[in-house]
Amino acid sequence: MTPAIEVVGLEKRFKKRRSGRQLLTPWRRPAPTVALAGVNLRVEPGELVTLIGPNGAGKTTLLKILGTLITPTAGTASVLGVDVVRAPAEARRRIGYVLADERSFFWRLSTRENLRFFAALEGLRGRASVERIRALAGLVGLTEELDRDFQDLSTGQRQRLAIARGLLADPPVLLFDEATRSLDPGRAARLRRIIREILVDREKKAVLFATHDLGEATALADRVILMAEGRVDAEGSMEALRPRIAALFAAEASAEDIEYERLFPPPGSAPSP
Amino acid sequence: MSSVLVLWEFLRRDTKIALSYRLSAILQVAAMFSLAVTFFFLSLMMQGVEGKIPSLARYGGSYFAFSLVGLAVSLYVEASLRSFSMSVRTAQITGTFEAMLVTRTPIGLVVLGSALYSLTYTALRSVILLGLGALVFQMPLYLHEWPTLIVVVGLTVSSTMALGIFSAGFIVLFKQGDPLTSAISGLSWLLSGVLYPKEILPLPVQELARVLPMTHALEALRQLLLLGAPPSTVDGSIVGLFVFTAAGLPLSLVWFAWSVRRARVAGSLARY
Repeated sequence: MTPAIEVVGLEKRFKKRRSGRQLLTPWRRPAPTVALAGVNLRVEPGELVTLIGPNGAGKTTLLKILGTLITPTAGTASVLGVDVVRAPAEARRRIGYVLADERSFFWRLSTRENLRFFAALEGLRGRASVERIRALAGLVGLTEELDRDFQDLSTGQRQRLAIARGLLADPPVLLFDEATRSLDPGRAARLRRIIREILVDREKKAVLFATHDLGEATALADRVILMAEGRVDAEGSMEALRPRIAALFAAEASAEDIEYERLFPPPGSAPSP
Repeated sequence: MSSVLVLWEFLRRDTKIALSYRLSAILQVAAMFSLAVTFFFLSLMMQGVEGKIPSLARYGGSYFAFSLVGLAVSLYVEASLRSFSMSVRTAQITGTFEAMLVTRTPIGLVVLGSALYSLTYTALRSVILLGLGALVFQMPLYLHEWPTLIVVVGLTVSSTMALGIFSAGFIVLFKQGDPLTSAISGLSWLLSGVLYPKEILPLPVQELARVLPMTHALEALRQLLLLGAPPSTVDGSIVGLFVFTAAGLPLSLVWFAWSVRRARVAGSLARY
């Protein structure tokens, strides 16, 4: 069976901008930032996979490559057999990318008008668009807010609108990038149920859900992929990976604590060099 | 057909957003009136000497009519030059660019759609400016050569659009500091004859002005609108505008596509 998402040896290196001093030595190239360093992963149709990892692990870069926003440096990525670099337009037809950034909407338009606009970009219009918007508003609990301006919505409502937008074209593969970031626990749990019970179990969509919330990963996933420093560090069930994930997050937190204490030493202690 | 519907949705979206800023919309129309009044009084100052300026006589001899057509065309050309790059930049800054690019709509259509309102609105402002001149200040306007007028306006739009798309490519790549728009805009104001007949410029400079689409657009539109000249008198301008379109549009599209590819590699498509 063709995998919903298949990533093989994916690498992404971003060129660093030269500083003013480096402009004086143009023959010396600054070392690139390695965002992905040979990622391999596979998501089957109807499977829900959580991509977990600390900030800077490469989760968003991976999703952006799958969403055709970034071109990889090496390796391949395909969605239902369609290569995202060679046939980006075809790949986008198969993907719903839930961008959680509230800035990605038109603030002076209503919820309905925002959805109508993005529905048109997804090729939906007329009655099909109206009915899809109504159905999705019901699904994410925004029916009462359809005629309110986006700028008057709460942060949680904006987040739910972002999810509805990602579902407009009813794509077989969904990418969620920290989609519950601003939701209260009740709403986040409801969203997880929608993803799990409706999108995955009932509609058999493949979902790749990036998060750094351990609780969320536990509640959601069939399978967890742990990313660290641009690589797949481990893969398996949440139960099996829990010690490894906990150790990785603890190491990150510890490094941040050390940095914090270096910058803001406790009163009475000698400042670190 | 579906592309037209997508463009319609862009126009609808931006009209709604613009109408939500009502005061600004009213003020911008009022500014057209103020501009027409200003040039009306400026031309009053020139009454008596207008007939003694041969280069002005070539366009009917009225400085008011001459300058109003110049302003209307330059308004539009400026908008064509800036709309594409501004729409990309605005979408990058507001954060909507990425959201539009992950949809099924190709990036070219997203950029064209995002610029459409500005292009349409400026065309409307230009028409209002000329309408005010004709209706309030009795400026003579000849519209009987309307098929040729449509051809000239169409070629003016397409040739300046090519420059606008070039400019959008710069913004996609470099985010700020587009050298093309400022250069073309500044040179057009200086050399194309917006507020003074280009014939008063030294001959070599007049020749240089021929590399600007606005020069040909102004020449043709003044001949048609102010003198009611037959189409054969604007043949040269039509050919000039056609050459700009035929060469510029494909080149600008290739440049824009290359810029987008580079930005995707750099991961900077939606950065600003």
